[in-house]
Amino acid sequence: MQAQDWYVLWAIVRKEWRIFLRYPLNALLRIADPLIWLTPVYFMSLSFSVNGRAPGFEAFTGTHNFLAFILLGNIVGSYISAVLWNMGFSLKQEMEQGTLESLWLTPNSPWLHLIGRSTVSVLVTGLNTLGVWLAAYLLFGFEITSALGPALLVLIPMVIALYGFGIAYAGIVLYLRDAVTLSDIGTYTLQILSGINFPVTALPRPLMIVGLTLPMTYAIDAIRALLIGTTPLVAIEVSLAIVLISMFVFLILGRVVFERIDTRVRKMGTLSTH
Amino acid sequence: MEAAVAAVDLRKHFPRKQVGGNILVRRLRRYVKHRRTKEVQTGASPAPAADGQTKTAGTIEDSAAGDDVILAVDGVSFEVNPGEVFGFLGPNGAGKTTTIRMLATLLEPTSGHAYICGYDVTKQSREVRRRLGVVLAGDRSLYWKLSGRENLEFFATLYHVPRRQIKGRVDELLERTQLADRADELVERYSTGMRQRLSLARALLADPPVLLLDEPTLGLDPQAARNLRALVLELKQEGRAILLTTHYMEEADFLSDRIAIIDHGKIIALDTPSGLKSRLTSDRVFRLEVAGLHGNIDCLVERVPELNIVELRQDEEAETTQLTFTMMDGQTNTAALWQAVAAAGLMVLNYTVKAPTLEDVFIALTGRGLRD
Repeated sequence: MQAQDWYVLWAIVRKEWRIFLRYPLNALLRIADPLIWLTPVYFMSLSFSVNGRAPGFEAFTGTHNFLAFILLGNIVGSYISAVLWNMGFSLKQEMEQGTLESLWLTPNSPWLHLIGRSTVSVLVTGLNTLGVWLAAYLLFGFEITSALGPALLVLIPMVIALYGFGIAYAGIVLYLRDAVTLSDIGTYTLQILSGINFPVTALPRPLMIVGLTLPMTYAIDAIRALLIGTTPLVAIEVSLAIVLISMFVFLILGRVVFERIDTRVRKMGTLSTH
Repeated sequence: MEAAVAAVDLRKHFPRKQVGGNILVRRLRRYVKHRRTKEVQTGASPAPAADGQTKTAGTIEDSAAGDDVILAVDGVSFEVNPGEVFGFLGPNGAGKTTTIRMLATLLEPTSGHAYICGYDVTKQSREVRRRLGVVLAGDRSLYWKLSGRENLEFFATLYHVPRRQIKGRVDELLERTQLADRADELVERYSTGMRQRLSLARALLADPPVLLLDEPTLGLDPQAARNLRALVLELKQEGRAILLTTHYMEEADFLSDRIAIIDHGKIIALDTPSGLKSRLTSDRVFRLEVAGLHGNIDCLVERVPELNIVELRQDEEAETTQLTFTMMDGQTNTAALWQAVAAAGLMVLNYTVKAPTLEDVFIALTGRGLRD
């Protein structure tokens, strides 16, 4: 990336942030949203516990802390949604509001727009994470362990890998011109198979095998192991290596796939149709 | 002088998309048709077109896929020089916008080449976009939840305007497009004319040598359209090459140094506005509305030498006929015309004589009006 690309990226982020704040109610809801889902999870975990412990759950995961398990899964899951939803959905939104061609007419790589737009979403998710953490600490006594630094070392490459995946995925949205269905399928599939809401080992064997091919599974597993001491699927170093390799692979693959589809769409003349 | 815009045998076809019915049956029929075509070709070996495809009127058969396709642009060639307004005139669906989209790098040509300031639109698209200002038809290409100024500042960065120059450039363009006093209002509160001017301001952010304007006055009130036209002429004076598409003949006539008339994807005439009009056989166009002719114009054609009918319209309900024509020798033939009208017992309802317009040229070339 050249210096000019960073300015462009910054301009896109500023523009997105401005538009985000011009719908104040939506902005408030987006930031407060995690607190809404956190409360039922807490009370459900209480109802499943016997003397503060859930033996079945503990056998699967190596921890009795159901709330923390779900909380971490959902925080990581929210980054998956933030990137995936935003890559595809923002493209669709630009198509619908008629601004996509104006962006494509500028002398920049189209994927800069994708990265810029989803960066705002990741920033909002970052704010969400802090809010959820604070609420969980104040309301339910959830504490952060000292392994936060290593956990971030796993989370950050995972988010970058997701960007790569998201760029390819945005290309598919550009081609099929359907963001909602695709985003739902993609997000739900990843949520189910990568063990966001339950241990991946609880899945039936064929599904578990598919889940174990996803780098996100290892990222979520490693973060949980580092922060709340669950039993990891593989050594944390191995998980980190998988996430780092997938980061490079997805970034390269994402760009190649997107550029090919972009060329195809320019041939078909469907850039402005939706 | 090197042309700022050059198109060489530019062609674009799209697959004919069909909806409804059974997709499997459709595909099967297409396959059978493709097989038959192949068998016929093996026997007769017809000479293929330059791009390997066999053409029919309006559609072509893609020899590889067997799909019906629509020819949107069919071998268009032209050049636009710096300081020139080049008008693309044609009815809706003639191929004007498709051509502009190919030049703007939004659409890849099926065959042929196009260059902007010497850069190939397909192979050097980023260099092309650096030198282009584009105003596409419609007013949805701006961010409505941003102000006019915010829109321009955002796009200025995207067009790589140096950071220190952004404020000055944006202020200057807001002044120039008469938007300075409304610059800090959200675009959603702008009128169509204001949005169109803002789109033009955005197109000028990078100070491009080439401007592509697709129906720039579409939907504007007369005053707003006049202002925009004046601005286009100013931009021409600055030495920019301007390619303008329109289906308003008066606009093309007023603004353009040269005009290409496009119909069914082909340029059917290319000349200066006066050059195009001089193609008609007279410097006057006559319009005659009569009752009692019932579409049979033989009684007039036989009696008036060198009467050239440009257009004939019949109103079945009112039983009237409207004729648009030219005559080689207006004075002599006018007498013959009135004698023919009297001899045929026609009732004259209306008669006008005026200078020919581009619409008359278009009708003479295609046999129909621009808005038909």
